[in-house]
Amino acid sequence: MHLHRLEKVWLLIGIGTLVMFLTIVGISAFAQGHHPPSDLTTLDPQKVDTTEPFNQPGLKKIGDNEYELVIVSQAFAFMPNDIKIPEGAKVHIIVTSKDVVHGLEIVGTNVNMMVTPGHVNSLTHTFHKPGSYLIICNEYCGTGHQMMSTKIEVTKA
Amino acid sequence: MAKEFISDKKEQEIAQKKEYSLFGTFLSVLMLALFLILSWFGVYYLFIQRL
Amino acid sequence: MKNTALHPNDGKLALAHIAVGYIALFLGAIAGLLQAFVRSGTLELPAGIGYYQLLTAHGVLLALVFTTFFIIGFLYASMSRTTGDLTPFAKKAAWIGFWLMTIGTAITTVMILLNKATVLYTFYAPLKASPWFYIGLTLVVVGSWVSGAGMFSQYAVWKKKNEGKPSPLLSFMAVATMILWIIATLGVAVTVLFQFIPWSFGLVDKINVLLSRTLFWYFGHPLVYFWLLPAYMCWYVIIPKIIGGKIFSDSLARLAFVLFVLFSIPVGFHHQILESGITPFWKFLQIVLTFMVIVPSLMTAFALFATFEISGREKGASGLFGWVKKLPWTDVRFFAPFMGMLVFIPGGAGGIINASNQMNQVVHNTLWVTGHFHLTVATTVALTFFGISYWLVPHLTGRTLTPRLNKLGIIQTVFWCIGMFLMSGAMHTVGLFGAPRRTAYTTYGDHPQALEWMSYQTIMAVGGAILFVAILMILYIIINLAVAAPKGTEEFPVGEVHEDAEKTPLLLENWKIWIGLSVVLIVIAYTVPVIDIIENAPSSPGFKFW
Repeated sequence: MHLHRLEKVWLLIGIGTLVMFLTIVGISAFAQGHHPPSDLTTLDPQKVDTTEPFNQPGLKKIGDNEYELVIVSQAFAFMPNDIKIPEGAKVHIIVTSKDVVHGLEIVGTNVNMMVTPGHVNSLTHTFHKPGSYLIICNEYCGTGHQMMSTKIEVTKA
Repeated sequence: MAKEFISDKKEQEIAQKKEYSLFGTFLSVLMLALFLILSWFGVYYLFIQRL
Repeated sequence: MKNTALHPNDGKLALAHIAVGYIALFLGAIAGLLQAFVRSGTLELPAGIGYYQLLTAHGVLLALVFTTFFIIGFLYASMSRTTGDLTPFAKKAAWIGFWLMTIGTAITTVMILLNKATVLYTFYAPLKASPWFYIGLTLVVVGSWVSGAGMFSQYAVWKKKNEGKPSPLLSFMAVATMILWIIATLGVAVTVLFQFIPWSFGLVDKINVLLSRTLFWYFGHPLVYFWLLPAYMCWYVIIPKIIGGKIFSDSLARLAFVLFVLFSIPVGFHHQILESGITPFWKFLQIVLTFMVIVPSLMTAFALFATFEISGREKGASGLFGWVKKLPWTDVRFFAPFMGMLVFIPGGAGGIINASNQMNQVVHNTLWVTGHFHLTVATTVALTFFGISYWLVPHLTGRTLTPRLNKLGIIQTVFWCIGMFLMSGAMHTVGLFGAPRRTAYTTYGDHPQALEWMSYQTIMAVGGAILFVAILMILYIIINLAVAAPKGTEEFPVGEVHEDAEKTPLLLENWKIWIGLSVVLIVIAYTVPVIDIIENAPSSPGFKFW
């Protein structure tokens, strides 16, 4: 098939740009660990309250300024609510759902993941800046969806 | 065989003669690519900032 | 070149589809307007109507009904125009398909209005709607398959009568679109028939949630190409005739459509980037395939600019951009689709960002995504469909597009673009600030981060109001073109290829190869993760939270 010379150049530039994008996110994901949240852990969605660690949702210190935050989501609340952590804390967020698909988004951060019943999802985030962070459910889950939220208070060191 | 070869060449010549400049097209798609690149890096920057 | 109107029976068929499409557009638009006013805090819905109910209606009526009906009507009209009068079989199939789709639409819409299916148009499990919601959607899909069979038969008959010749470009593209659609809908058919319907009837207690989502998005991504490809048909084949130019390259246009058939489908994971139960490897593989489907759009951009430039230069334009002035800006049949093309630049840019693996964490489920698809389907595709309607409707009803209606159309297009600039612009921005999509009015207890979003949601309402005015304008125009405009002959413009263009390789029409390759890619992209999901993903009982 005959391609005009400039079309050949264009496609080279276009495909090159796409390859550049893929390379950048690919390296960031596979070499620097910035994968999108893809936890493979599963559990019985009807036994969340008796399955570790979700039988005890909440914040747990596991190291020097390092925490594990276990969250249980259900229509229309996150448990625990009102979480306080110090500035600079590295937090491993682990979450599941007791009923339908929810979303967990910490507003203004990259913490954004789907919460599917029967599955655990997880993400690690370091809170560099103090302030009040809204956590919202960003996947439609019913008539109370717009009320489903909680807060993380990141306190000054 | 030879006849086909000659008429192929003629077709090519005609096609080349009537090939218009597509430089305006080329610049337009380059601007499109620039938009794609700028917007992509804009959001990439946000992602990196929020890490 | 034959310019006579389509056979009146074929015309009636196309008109029936277009009519249902525009009725759905009107109802869906009303829902959208109300939603925008609720989210800006200026309207509290009257008792009985739920925000999420409206949102479900909005999505189903606009993204599934308006689109599918208009597209099938346009495709049949295109096939009749370029391959000749529809055969008795094709006509029968088309009408059976039409009625199945219309009855299905009615059933589903009633369920939504009765608040028995407030599950949004993606109907994610384990939210469980009335089984009739799913049955209605099944009828729509099955109806579209019957319509597809009619088109394939029409195509096969033409091919047999014209052995060794490439099919007319418009018909080739229609067939490619329906092939894409059939392969894509198989996924949603499997989940609806074998998961949702038995489960919603209570025959089965639990549903494999991740499997249902995966099968839905196997369908959900190519769905957007089902919308886009008919718009591309207009741009590639009809626009050149309207501007007085020629088709840039018949072969490259076919190649683009073949690439869409190959790469639109094995990419559903880019709608599931932030989900558990799917490994980063498989997500990234499908993302690489997603980026490959961008290539035919890059080819299309070049082809369209080239069409404009060559036609301008043939009319005497000089300099780098002199051809811009030669375009028929005051002809709404060109202007509306052109604005659709222009808006596809930010629309496509946003799409690339959305699909960029972990960058999706910045935008997923925020209003940015809503802003994105209001550019792509609700502007690029919608304005192009309006642009087609300006000549197709009068062509089918034996009337003409008057200068007055043409001018009104130009104004309609401008209103649309201004309204969308405000609404989608605000959505993109406030989305980057974290405002969620698919959410009714809230300030999350007056949290400072949420209060920041309010002014943007007000702009969204202003944009939405302007868009609604534009909706009323297009409806006024369409109704006029259908029943009141002066009688006459309105051309069904079909472009011609340059005389010295190269011959189109028949390989591009070897559907066995292309469908085969498409299946291979789907098998590569999906087999391993889906087997894993079937074996290991948990099942869940249903919930009704509305």
